[in-house]
Amino acid sequence: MSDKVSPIEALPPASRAYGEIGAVSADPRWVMVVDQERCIGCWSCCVICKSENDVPDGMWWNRINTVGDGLDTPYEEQGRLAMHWLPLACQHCENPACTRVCPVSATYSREDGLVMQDSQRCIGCRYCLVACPYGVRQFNWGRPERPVPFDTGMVAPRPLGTMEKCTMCVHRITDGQVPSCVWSCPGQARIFGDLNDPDSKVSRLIRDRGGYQLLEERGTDPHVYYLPPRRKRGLEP
Amino acid sequence: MTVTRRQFLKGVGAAAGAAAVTGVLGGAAETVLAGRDDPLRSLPVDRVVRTTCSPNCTGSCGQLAFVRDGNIVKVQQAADYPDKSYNPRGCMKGISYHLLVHGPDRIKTPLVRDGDRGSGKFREATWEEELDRIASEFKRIGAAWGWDSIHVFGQVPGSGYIQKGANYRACTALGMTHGTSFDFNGDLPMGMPITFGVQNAEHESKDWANSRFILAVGANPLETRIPDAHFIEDALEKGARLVVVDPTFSSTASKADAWIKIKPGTDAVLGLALCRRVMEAGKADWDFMRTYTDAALLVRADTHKRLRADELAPGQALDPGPATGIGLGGYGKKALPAGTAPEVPGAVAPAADAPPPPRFVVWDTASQKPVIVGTERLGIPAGVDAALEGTFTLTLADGSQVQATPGFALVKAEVDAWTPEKAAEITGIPAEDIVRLADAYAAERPAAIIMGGGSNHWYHGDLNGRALALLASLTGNVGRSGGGFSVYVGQYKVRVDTSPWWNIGDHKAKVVPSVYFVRGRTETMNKNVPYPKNGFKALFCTFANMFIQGMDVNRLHQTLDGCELVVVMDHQMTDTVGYADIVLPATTWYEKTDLTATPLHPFLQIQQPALPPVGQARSELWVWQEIIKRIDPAIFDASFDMTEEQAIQAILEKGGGKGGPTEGITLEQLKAGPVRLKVPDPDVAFVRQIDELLPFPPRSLPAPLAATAAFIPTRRIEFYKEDDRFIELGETVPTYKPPHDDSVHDPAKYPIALLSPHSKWRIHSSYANVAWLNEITGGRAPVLLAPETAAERGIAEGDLVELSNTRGKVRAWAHITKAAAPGTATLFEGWWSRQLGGGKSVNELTSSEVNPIHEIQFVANMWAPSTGWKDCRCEVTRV
Repeated sequence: MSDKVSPIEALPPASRAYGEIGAVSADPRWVMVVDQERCIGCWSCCVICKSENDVPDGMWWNRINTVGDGLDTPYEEQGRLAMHWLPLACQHCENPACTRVCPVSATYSREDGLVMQDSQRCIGCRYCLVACPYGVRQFNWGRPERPVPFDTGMVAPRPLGTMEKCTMCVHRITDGQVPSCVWSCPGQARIFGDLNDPDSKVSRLIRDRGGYQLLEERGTDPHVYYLPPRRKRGLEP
Repeated sequence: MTVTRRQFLKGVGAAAGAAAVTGVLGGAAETVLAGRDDPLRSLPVDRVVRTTCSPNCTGSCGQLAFVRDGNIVKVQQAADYPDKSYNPRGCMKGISYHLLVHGPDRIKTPLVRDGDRGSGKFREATWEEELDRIASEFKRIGAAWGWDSIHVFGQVPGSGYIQKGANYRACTALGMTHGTSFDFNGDLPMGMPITFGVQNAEHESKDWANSRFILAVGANPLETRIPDAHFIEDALEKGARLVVVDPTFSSTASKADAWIKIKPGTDAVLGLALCRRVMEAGKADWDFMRTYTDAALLVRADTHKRLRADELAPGQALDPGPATGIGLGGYGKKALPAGTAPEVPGAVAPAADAPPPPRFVVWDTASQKPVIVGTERLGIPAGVDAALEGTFTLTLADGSQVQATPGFALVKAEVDAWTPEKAAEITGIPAEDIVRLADAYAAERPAAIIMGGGSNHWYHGDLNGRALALLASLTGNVGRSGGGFSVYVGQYKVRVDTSPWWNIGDHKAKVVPSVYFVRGRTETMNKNVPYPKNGFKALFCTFANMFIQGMDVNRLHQTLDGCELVVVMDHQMTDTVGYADIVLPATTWYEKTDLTATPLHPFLQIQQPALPPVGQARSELWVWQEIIKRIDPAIFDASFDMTEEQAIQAILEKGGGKGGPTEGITLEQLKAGPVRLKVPDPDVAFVRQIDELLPFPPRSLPAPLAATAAFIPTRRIEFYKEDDRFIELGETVPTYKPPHDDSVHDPAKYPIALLSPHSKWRIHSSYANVAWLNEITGGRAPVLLAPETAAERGIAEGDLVELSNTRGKVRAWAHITKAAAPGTATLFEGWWSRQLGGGKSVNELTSSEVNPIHEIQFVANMWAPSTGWKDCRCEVTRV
């Protein structure tokens, strides 16, 4: 073995404590809650995702959609300007469209609710890309390129001609650490936890703050929940 | 596999992880831990190093560098602040920094110009060649023109007290002039020294969460204070209200309860009109005004100067004795008993032959007599009902009579003129919204005012600040957690006494505001500015993209043309590097040691190398050591044979005495993580003045207290200014003056107000070349135009447009949006020239005009010319 160390083991103690998932139920069901009120559209979650997961040039597993008229540009609603943001990555659906169409079972669900993508099995047919209603699956059309002459991040790059997508940083969850986007959100807008624990922070937020799922009507039942932006008070007393 | 993983996930606490794997997987554990091929485990690294991101954004965010095979493969926030509300702290720019460390624009070798200056043609050189040449050229230029003709320009020292301090130390040793950054950047909020006698003073950002009402004026913290922005959300979650005043619908405006769309450069009008309404609605806090401000101090009608007690005929005024002020209405709850002068931190005993401090006079309406008020402590003597209005006749020592009026009466006369209707005409804000905003702000305490560069970066930015400071004072919000008037601009703050490192014994660097480098001396320049007698003949520019990021850059380039040597030290191949004669490859903060702090939070942090220097890069300290060895080895032996760690130790020791900011703080602690300086929690501006009646100002490091105390002779919050130039220019009280560039560029011919705000995608021009960020933005510069503005000029979305005025022109691509106010063009500053459609930068157009008010006093970076980047008119045409 080399004298290299796990990047989790090598964390300074205070940093490691910050990232700990903490206590969960005996049968955790992972969910991500994204607070759109606290999201400031900074893309830190997307950039760290790209870095953590060695996502090549031109691809984003996670991106911020401006709910507006283009990047950071507001729309007009009843004479008023408005804008907020919708961070979007794999929704890790309970009933995923992608797994049903994959002819080789390269994409599959885990019992903890995560939807995985096995690069070794993937044949690059892209059925899943078409099937996913959220448009979050990415395909390696060409040889992956990077702005620096080495692989970045904490996971191995995926081969040419395969699909890739958000893994919920499963390699970090394995070591008890939150996904990197959760760690790196300066707005503290991302919360990760166990939906099977009714007292977990994610369960409480979804209950108390009207957590909703994207395209609920499709029946995909995502494990990513969004908390809507607050109602503005104006200048009224 | 699934089942297996789920089993060990049950005990998913971090420490348990590895043990669980071993237990479950048995013999396979070693393979899994090695991690190389298991997609469920992180790939291993060589080490993780904790350092601090510090690019002059005021973030000062702890970062972890993950190093593998000699490369930084990930940067991620350290998230290790003991005050957990600060975690994770850090933004998308900081966490992509490894792309700059190892990216295509990195300068790895010394370069020497090999073509005309500005041609961008260089040949590789050796350090020996470059250092020898710099040393011999400096000696030649120093002998021919004076060492002060060599100008060293760095950036804000808060982003690195040691390496940037090495620049100061070298200037101290050799007699070169050092430039400025805080005033040059237009960030110095001149309203602060004028009103409070400080360089600046603010609340640490976590205190925003304690606000009931946040009024952001020309401030866009969601984009420009990304690590801190969540504290606003914390306040909103607790029921606070956020109002954003901005011509442009910004990201911060998108979160606001109300967006107040204001015409650019008219913030002072809004401030004054809000003050008027607060008074009219009976919400003014007169106890605060009397206790802490100059409101009651009498001003002579004949000279417009404040009446001094020693001008009065003997025996005319009641003299309650020194330090007899008390806090009215319950203020000053921690003050010593009346008659006791508080000990003022940083004060030194005056020289034996120094004149006694001035004493002032208030009018007691109870006794109908003048009463003497000193400067030893704040407050008003017990039983005195100090008048805030009226005109009183007093007898002077020579027997003549003089009329005098409380300073506040003069302030109020100006404020009263700003009816909501009149303010509406100038600001474009509906009069009823001004009234509603005033009422909503006054209804909540504590209420915070956050002023940003959009309000400060004007020729008359001081007037904007003075009006808003008056609003905060009138409502008793100064010195109160959750309240205050804070101007967040620039990582200027010297939180620790850096004198053991920047100075050599009692010798300090001569500091010249760099705006004079751009435009030469002005007629009104303060006589204390150490302007070089032969002008500027050489420039040493470090960690600054000055030649496109300075204001009025075409004029700046004229000065450059007169320089016999231009040295640029940087780690990225910026536009500025292209104009150098000699290019020094610099280390990034992932390759060196430094000490940093910021106004936004009171944690002291160090930078420590994650990597050895990339290529032949070297630190500022190393470069100055080598230059000085060649110029005079004796200076090296006496003053430069030090390491960064020794310099840090010296600073820690200097401030480490009882009650000092670094008391008990060790280098070992700093190596492990951030350490909170010994300041109150939360760190709130002016608390001791308010609670203990300590005279204003608190000390602004590194200047001696006396230097900034001279800004406010009353030692109170001053809304009335008596210096001749305030009188001549009609600015004795907070008032409004139209944008200065309206007098340079006729609005009929140059109808567009050009705004060049800070971008969330860059820190000035740093990060403009981060590939990932350019994937998001497209990597080329948009100009925000309102639909009306675009339509009038036949401009369509995406068109290449030219912005021009008499100073220069620049081209970029139209982005048409209702977020932009009609009559404005917004080109975010900091794009590199290659990302524009033509021109050096937006700063071909910006102004370097100097406001003579800023030259009344001179303390570098504290009372000095603060430039007006946003005070700029232009025309926009389709190319």
